[in-house]
Amino acid sequence: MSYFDYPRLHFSGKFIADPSTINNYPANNLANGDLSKMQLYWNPDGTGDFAFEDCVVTKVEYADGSIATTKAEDSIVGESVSSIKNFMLSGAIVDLDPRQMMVSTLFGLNFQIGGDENLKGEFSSTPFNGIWNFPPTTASATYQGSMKNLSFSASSSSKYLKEIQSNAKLSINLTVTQYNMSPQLYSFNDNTFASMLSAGVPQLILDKIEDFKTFSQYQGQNHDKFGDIPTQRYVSKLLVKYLGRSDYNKYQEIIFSETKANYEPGSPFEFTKGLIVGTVGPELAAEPEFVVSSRVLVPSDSSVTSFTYFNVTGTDTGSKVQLNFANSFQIDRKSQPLGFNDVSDLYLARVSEGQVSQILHESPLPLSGSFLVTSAGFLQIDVDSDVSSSPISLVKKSDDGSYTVIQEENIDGYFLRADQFVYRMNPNSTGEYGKNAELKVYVYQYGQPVEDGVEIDISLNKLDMNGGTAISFEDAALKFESTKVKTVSGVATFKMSCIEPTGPFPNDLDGDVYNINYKFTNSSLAGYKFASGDSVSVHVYQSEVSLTGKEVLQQYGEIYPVMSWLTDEALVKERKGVVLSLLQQPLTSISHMPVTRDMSIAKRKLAIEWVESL
Amino acid sequence: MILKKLTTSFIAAGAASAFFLTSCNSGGNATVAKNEMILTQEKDSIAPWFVGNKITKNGVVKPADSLVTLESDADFHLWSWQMFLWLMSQDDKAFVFDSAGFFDLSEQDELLPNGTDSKNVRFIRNGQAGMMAHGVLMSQDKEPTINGSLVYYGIHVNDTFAYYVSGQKNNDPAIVAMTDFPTTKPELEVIEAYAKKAYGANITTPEALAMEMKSSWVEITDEKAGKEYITTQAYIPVYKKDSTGKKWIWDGKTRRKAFLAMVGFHVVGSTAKHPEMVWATFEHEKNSPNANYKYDDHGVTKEVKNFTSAGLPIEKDWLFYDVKTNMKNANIMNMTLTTANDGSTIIKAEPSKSISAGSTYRISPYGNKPTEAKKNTLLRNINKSIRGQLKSGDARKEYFLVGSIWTDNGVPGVNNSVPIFAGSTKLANSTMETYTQYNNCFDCHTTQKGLTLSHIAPVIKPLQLPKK
Repeated sequence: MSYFDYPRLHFSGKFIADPSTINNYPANNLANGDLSKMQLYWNPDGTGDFAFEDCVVTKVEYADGSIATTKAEDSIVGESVSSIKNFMLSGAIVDLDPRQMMVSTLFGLNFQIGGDENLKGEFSSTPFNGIWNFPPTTASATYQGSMKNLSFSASSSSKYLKEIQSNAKLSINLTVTQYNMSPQLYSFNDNTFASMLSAGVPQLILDKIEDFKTFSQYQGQNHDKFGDIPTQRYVSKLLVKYLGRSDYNKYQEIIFSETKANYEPGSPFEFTKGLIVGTVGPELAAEPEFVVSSRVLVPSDSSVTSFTYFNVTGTDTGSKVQLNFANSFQIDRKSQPLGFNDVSDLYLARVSEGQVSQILHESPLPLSGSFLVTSAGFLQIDVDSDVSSSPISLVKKSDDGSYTVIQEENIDGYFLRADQFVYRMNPNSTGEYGKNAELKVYVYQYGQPVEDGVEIDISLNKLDMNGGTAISFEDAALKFESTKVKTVSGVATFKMSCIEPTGPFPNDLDGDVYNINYKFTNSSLAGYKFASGDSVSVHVYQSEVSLTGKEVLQQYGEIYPVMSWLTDEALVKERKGVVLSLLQQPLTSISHMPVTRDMSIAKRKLAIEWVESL
Repeated sequence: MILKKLTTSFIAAGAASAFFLTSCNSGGNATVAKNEMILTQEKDSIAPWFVGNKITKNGVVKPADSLVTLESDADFHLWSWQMFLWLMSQDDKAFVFDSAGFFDLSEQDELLPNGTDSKNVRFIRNGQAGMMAHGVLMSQDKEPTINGSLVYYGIHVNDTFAYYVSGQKNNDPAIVAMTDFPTTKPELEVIEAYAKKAYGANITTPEALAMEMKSSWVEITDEKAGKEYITTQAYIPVYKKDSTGKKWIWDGKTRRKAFLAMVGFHVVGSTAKHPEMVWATFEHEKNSPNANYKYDDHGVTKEVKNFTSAGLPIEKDWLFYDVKTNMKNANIMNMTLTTANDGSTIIKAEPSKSISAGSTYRISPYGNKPTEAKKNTLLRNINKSIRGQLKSGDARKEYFLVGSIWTDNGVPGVNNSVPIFAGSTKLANSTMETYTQYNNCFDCHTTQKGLTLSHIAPVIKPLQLPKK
């Protein structure tokens, strides 16, 4: 079972993702806190928070075929879907490493569906995948995971809540899109200094912030100008630090007014916000945490990387096809509410040798208008033909009546996907995040687990800031018991271990980061197409650390301004108790110290020992 | 007869600000120096604070008039003391803060009105405030506790606070037009009118303006065991220990009746020109040792040594400090609290720790840096004066004001401005912010406009409107 099953709930609204970005640039590690040598990127003072905002239930579908889109039909409709704030954060969004920022993971996100009548649960620590749709300043991606430890309010009039109560787990599919990562910039240069002086800021004050002219987002690269500093929050922090609170209060209004640059929003949303749509369905206890048994439509145009996942069940008269289009199409930014761009006249069809042999339904798919936000991009449609074990395609009808294939089913109806696809491994350590781990690749054909004996093989890339280069298994610090494994009950299981990485480790980056690419060994399936980011990322940390515990924490304070006090030994000593507690929380806990989830076990141990010694 | 003149003046004004007539400058060292000089005159009387103008054992105290502008540091501290004595006054055997006109906050964020038949189930929180982790505190195994006790917390508000927040939540136009907590008579009248119109209620003590309070308690065997404490009875959570002893779980429902002794109390309220509220905190004198600190003795800076150079406490009798513990290993969290989605509460031992008492000391005695001799002196003298005047056997005498904090610019953050802290700028209560003593109140209670200043106001459910 999964979000393709019933009862199924859809919601939409906004999300907030507020990651810290100074750590994105590895050379910042060695800048010793000198901001003139650092790249601030687009959100230097990010808190690491991930949260929902103004999300509401828009629709519920039940097993008997009925649908609720109003409160009268089900009291859960129109109710909120909200992330539960724990301490200062709702969830923590964390990159694996500057070398792999395309699997940002949500940790510790609990959320609630409904108001007084509700269900609550804990979302698994889930990385995004399927990232694509890059206009200059935004992107789309999918989080597919489980919600566990469910609890329900004492009584409920909602049919949905009553029906879903028997489930121990839920399957959650979230699509995030139109994220605005374009910050408001404040320009500190000769011109704005002159205008600040004219507007009444004394030269003595301006002298104190002269250094601001040397700060930058990208050290002058990518049309970046020195002195352009992102976000009011970060500039405020710098001004308070350089001027003190009294002078800050006295002059901040003029300073912000005179330095505020022209702003071009990166999306229809405010900075660090975007559109989120979600679909929730039941999940069996034994099912994998991230993979959903499904089929996949892949773009015919190889330059497009958006996939559509779907499922088919047989009916008396044909098939019921359920498709998740949430991350399939470009968004029309001018539409209100936001919807897909150019999705008229689309049909499901059988295609043979490039030609449409059968259109499977009469009317075009209803994907335009408010479909994205009211149905979370999810569509179910009955077709007259049994397509439960034969391929289908998505085609577009032209004005002349001809059809163009837009997406087609992956080769022979196959779909393979690693369940866990982000690993943190530490040589010389055992247990969670230790030196051993299992990689499970699930293989489906037409939505069913493949028979035993389908062989999957893997290859390795070692990642750097410019991408990845192939590396032999012999040369890698990541080892495999076997690099070719046959499926058992639809799963190919690879046993992994790691040894001490040998470097080099430019800019003090910790250890190695690898991409594991998996594929069918059978060369006749070489045409199988992988979605964007459909691989496995593994960070193998070093266990041998040349830094002292103090230096470890100091470095974190320098590249994560939200924890800048870590650079001050007296403050760490004063906060000793809480620092120790936060460093020792599980990585999955929202209470874990923000953004230190990318710290190795060895470094954490050194840091703890140092703090204990204070 | 200077004393008589002072007293007369105090009665007329009805406010702490008139108490020490010479302490009328705003903030700064000059003010401290003046206050210090005055406060060495320990005979300045607090009698006018008492109903009947006479200091009596367990006598009922009047609230300070928060509509009067507080000027000097001493004014703020005295406002705090008078409010504490008032809130801890007992009328008909109920403390003021636990009587009609006050509400307690339930775990479900509901305001529970106090009344003669209330079951007092409110002191049930065990987690401390914290930015990233809710620490849990346990006392040493010593009197007056039974085998050591978890510390329980209660949150309380007065009626002005309750009706103001309810009006905000109910979108009453006149209340919504007020963007901050009330500080003036006209604002107070708006809230009084709303309470009357919407709930048919009268504000019981309008001059106190809006107040919220937090209290901390330990379990004791009976009232007699806590004779030097302010005590009460309440229903507290019953935890079940798991087999490892590293996890205690409360199902969110099961409670038992217990005697409790108060170990700490926050007094927080808006006053004229201070919508950011004055934040003060009190502790029982037997709680925890202070770090070594300096004070001014007639112009000579002296040090109070509470710890030896080896880091061991000199005084041995502390409820929250094991005398064998080096201060280097104190203030370390042994356990944290989380609330599960089903409403159950879990106390979990930290890695390599057990669920047990740790050792706690006050890093910033009197809410100031230990080296801030003049500020420490002011609070020492105020405490000495007031505690010296309270009658023997009055349990309030056993508590002291750690400090009070407000902002010099008197306003929350407006147009991106930041607060200028005043008073005890490193204020924390060792039983409530044990593990976050490095922050002051405003580090967490950010002085932004409106309800966000208070952690509880944004989540409180409005009082239920009467059925028409």
